[in-house]
Amino acid sequence: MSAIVLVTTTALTSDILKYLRPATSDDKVLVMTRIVGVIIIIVSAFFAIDVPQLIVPLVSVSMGVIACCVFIPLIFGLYWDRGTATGFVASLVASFGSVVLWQLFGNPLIHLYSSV
Amino acid sequence: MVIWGVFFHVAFACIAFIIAPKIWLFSQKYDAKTVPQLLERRYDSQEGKILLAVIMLLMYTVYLVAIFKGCANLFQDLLGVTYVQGLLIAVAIVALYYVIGGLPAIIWISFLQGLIMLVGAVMLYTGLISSGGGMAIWYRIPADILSMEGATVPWQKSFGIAFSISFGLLALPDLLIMLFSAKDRRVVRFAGLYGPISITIYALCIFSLGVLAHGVFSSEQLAPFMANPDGLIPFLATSLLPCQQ
Repeated sequence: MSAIVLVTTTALTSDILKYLRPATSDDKVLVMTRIVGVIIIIVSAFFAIDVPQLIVPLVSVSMGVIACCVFIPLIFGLYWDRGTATGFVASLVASFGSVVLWQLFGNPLIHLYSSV
Repeated sequence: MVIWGVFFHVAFACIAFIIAPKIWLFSQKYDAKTVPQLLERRYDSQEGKILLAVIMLLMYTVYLVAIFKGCANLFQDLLGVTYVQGLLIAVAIVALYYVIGGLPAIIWISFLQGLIMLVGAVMLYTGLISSGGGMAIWYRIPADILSMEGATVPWQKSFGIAFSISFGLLALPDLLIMLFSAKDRRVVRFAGLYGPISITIYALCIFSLGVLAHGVFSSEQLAPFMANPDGLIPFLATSLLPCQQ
């Protein structure tokens, strides 16, 4: 669970903040990672007090989006030398879009086959 | 369906065993501490890194809400506290070792958590088999539950969920960062060997619980868990484990 807090926090501090303010020192990023981590824990717990029904489908979407967005560029990055920056961004957009569209249309193939 | 679920889990764990050393070398080569950082350096794309970081930030925050809900439910049922008190206990534990311990503590806690989950899954599985009269439990389970079509959920959906959870073993950043931090290649090989073995045992036990429960409990007793599956494990723990009897 704390590994999830850590990757969520470092996405904000090491990746986004460091991009917006490249001069930020590593020590400052480390301190911010701990503070922001606690804030994320409190915010998530606050929303967990009265969990909206929407959260249940959102959980499977969230894991699907992350796994798809990482898997394609990671595996192609390991085994294929010709991957480009444009291809990387395109794979993120396509992965995000395909998972979200699949959920929006209510898993169409599952219902099609289960009704046969 | 259980066999397919276990098959996907083990298959992806074995694939992870094959590619883990290469991912570790990849992270060392690019000196990456986070997954967006690794992919940014591999593809030379700042835009890609920011896009992936924003996606991770949003999606993982949603996921955390659901995990806290699960923890609060678990503490509520096991410790007899209120839902909010269970939530506060979860927040206090996670915040404490996150702030004090950093990444080493996170890795050790994840290891211990995995060990507890493995032992717990085996205990619940054997508890159900023993309460159901050994192998006779299979004759007590209604035919529609054992059917590939499933009683309420289409088999394609169960198949898809089993596949996607297993797929996550290869690509979820919270698992990948632990791989990045491995001391050397030997550690990666060691984890890659014992990981699939423990995952096989765990998956076989945990994926069977829902089906086996129908051989011990009535459909009326299990009805609440069709709407809220999170409650099944605490229910089985309080009903089956010796300390509660």
